[in-house]
Amino acid sequence: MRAAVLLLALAACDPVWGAQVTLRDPINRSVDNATFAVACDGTTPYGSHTSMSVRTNRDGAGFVGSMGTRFPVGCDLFIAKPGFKTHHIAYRELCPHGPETCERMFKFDLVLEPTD
Amino acid sequence: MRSLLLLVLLGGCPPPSQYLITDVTAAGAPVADALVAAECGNPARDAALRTDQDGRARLTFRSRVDASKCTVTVAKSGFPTLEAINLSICSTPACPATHVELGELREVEPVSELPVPRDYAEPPRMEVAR
Repeated sequence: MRAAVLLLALAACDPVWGAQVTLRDPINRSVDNATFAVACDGTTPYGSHTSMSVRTNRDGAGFVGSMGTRFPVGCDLFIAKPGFKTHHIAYRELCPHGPETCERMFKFDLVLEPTD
Repeated sequence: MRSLLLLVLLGGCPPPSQYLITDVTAAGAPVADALVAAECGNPARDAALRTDQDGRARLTFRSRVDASKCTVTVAKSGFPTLEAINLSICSTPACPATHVELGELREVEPVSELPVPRDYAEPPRMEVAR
């Protein structure tokens, strides 16, 4: 029992990184089924990592993340859906002062603009 | 007993990786830094990458996925987002690449000035009888 409590306590301390998004259209309707992804290039150690892409739910919400002490270095965020303009948030915008001072968790409440 | 042991050992091996290779172009030229994301109905199997300078993204799936259940999204700012199903997924990195051509995004012209009023837009003048 004590070991289980210790395990739970240790697991609770595991560092995680992640990004949360909530999407709306210009007339304040939730945008569901949009792709929300953390995308690295193929050369980074994270390049072959999976679980980096999700679809927003009917409330327009989505979360990508994993265990780790920092947001994946050099990886960008994308929000995309056919019929809407793509948001591409580069790592240098997320972490302008480099990985040492970068936040681990990000939250975005975005309005997606239709393409026409 | 030996075959049982072999079965247990093999059962412990992870399934072979699978690959989805995509070449992204626009007007025939490679598009770098585009998103290629594959959603296969299981968050543990969803992958995403940015294309390299040659417009190529090589997604790796660490566990077996059903290609028929995958939706691939290709997106880049300034281009329309594309979604595709039924792409080739192979158990070798030598998988033939799927070519995705991004079209041009039609921008909405910003309204720079108010339209000039024209005669036909003016309300009819009415004479009021006294």
